[in-house]
Amino acid sequence: MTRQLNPGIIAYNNINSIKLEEEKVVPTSKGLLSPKSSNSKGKAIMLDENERIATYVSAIRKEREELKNGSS
Amino acid sequence: MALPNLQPSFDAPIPGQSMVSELGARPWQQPSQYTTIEEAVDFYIAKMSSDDVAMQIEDILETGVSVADLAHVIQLTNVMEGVHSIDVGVLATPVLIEFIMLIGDSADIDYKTGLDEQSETVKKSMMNRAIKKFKEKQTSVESEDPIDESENSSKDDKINQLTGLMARRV
Repeated sequence: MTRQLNPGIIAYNNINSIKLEEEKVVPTSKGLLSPKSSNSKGKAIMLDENERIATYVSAIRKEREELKNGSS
Repeated sequence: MALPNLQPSFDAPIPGQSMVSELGARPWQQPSQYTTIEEAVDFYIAKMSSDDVAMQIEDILETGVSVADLAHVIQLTNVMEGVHSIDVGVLATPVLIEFIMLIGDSADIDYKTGLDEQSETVKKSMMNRAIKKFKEKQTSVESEDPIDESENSSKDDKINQLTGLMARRV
């Protein structure tokens, strides 16, 4: 029996090839005179659709892997 | 073994029946409820996080249905119900696949992902196409060869037939 083409599989495989940039946590002092970071909090980072989906997928996958490692 | 039902079914829709309904009468002809990926993903995660839905998904996975097929069916059903458009559905499918796998793992189910089978079927179909093309070429070459032989033999015959005084000799 031939199987119907599932575009979701192609999308899933393409999402896996996307590498997300990890957020760099720069240790900063919280003093009044400390220099402020260039990225203001209100500024939203615009991502492409595939990157937005990849962030969701990676977050769920991380949880899944944690669950797997915890159970084994 | 059950015998096939020979009685014709009159419950089936008439061909073209879907074309006669008024435009906008179907849910998928209306503007979709969720237009962005974030909204669609939030909708799915909220829906699938409930115990009832998770239990249903676990039951389906235990029957042997692959994760990819299940995700595809879920998103298509929601397209049909006018929840989101088909492109948002396709974009949200990877999240659905991952979330269904999370449900399967949390319930300790040995599920089928269905992600490797796709490439295998594609490979098989490509192989079949290549074999078919090769066979077609082979048969065309075989059918061309006898024509060439007959052409050559007919040329030789013509040369041999030229026996007149003014005929050129080769």
